[in-house]
Amino acid sequence: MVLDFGLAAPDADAALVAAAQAGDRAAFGRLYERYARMVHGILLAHVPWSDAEDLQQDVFVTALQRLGSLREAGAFGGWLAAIARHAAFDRHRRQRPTVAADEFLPGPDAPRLEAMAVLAEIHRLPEAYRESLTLRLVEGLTGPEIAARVGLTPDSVRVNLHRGLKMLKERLEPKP
Amino acid sequence: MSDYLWDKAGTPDPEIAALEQTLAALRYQAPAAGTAPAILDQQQVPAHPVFQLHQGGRWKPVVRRALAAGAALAAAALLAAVLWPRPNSGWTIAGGDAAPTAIAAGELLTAPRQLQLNADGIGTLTVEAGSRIRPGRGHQFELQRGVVHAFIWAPPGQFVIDTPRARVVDLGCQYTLSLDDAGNGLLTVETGWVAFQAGERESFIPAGAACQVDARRGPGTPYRPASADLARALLRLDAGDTGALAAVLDTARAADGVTLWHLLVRATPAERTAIFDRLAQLIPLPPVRAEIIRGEPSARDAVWNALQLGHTDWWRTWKHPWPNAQAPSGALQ
Repeated sequence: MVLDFGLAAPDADAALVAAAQAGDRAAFGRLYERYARMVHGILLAHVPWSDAEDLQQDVFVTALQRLGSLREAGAFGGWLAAIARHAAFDRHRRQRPTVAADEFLPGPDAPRLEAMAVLAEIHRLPEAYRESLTLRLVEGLTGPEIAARVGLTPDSVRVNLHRGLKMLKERLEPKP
Repeated sequence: MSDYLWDKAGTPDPEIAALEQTLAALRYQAPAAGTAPAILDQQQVPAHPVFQLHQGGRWKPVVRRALAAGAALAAAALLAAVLWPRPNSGWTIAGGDAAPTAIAAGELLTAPRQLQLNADGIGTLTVEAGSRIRPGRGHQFELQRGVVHAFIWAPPGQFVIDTPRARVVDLGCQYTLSLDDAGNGLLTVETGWVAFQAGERESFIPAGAACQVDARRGPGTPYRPASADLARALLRLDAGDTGALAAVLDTARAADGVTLWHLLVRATPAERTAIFDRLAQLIPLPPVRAEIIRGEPSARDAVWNALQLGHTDWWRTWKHPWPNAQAPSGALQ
């Protein structure tokens, strides 16, 4: 399966959404391929890595169930992003108080532990900056791709990346 | 602002590049169908970490002769069967620029290269080179050996893959199944849920988890590969080393609740006590300790619901109630 992580074309999205709404599951599969990385990046901006892995499929199942309610097919990306954010916030609300902090450690994998430490710092940034940073630095999307996928203006994404990166660097600098 | 941060243009900013490199460990992992290692060839299944676990399970010569005779009879029956036209399976082999090729139900495919199989409204199945697979009717496949990646959008329960020892039921939507010639294998679930069944023995595997199938014992206990210590202990436990239960419980974390739930279902009453107590340390459980020890299905439902993996009512929309079989002595195998 070849995944398409390029810049999403709204027209192509609209055609796929229309086909999926008409019952073409293969078309929904194509939408999944196009947007899996975006959903993962948004989830990572709000929940630990292990939860993002779990929630990824929930988001697409919800999208599939509610696809009929999407009136503007070209807005699929922004609509899906909203579902992903809702899933992440819902996970926060249901978080069990007795869960140990080390639940989220994925095992003796040093590179991943280091990455999770950086992700923890991203989680401490203002909410507006987190998604742009995870989509850019973790998932590897460019600024224009983020804007097109999530439904933000390029200027907003540019500001979020700039300010967010500055704050992240300050947080990661060794304290005297 | 750095152009590199915006659109990756120009010379990479060293600090940004370092962050990218670090954070790449958390990046979304696309399904491996297009880049899966070619671990199979036409002659034999080469050493794979999963398959190495089962090298001791050789069959005796008399059994092999009996199997050979059976295989000869089966081949003769198959030859006779091809004289009659077969119904279409509903699946096609993607042909690139050429028209897709329809596959008849019952037709045995030995993949000379990676094949992409499609069915409208059901999903896609990527079959790795060297795999042997036979589509039946009603989107039911028989995998004899090899590696397949399923990406299914059909409603839960419609797409099924049978192996010599277990049945894999898709509950939506993406997984990989590897199987060696003897029927030992590994199921890994990327998204959705998969049920792994062999008679009364069932495993429910969520996204991010894996489950072994043993040619003799059937489906093992699901586990998260990220929980490496637990996975190692679990392999021993599934192989019949009941002494490994303590190590499983010691290394289990809250994220391993689905593993402990499966052990609860399969354990002896004495073992259930320890498993329930450990699970209760990890996540809040309803007060059903005595009922769990007695093996009451309603208590198992209550514990399952506490895992927050979907309410049991949802599961019963496609599935019968949990099996009510009492575990035999020396269970957990």
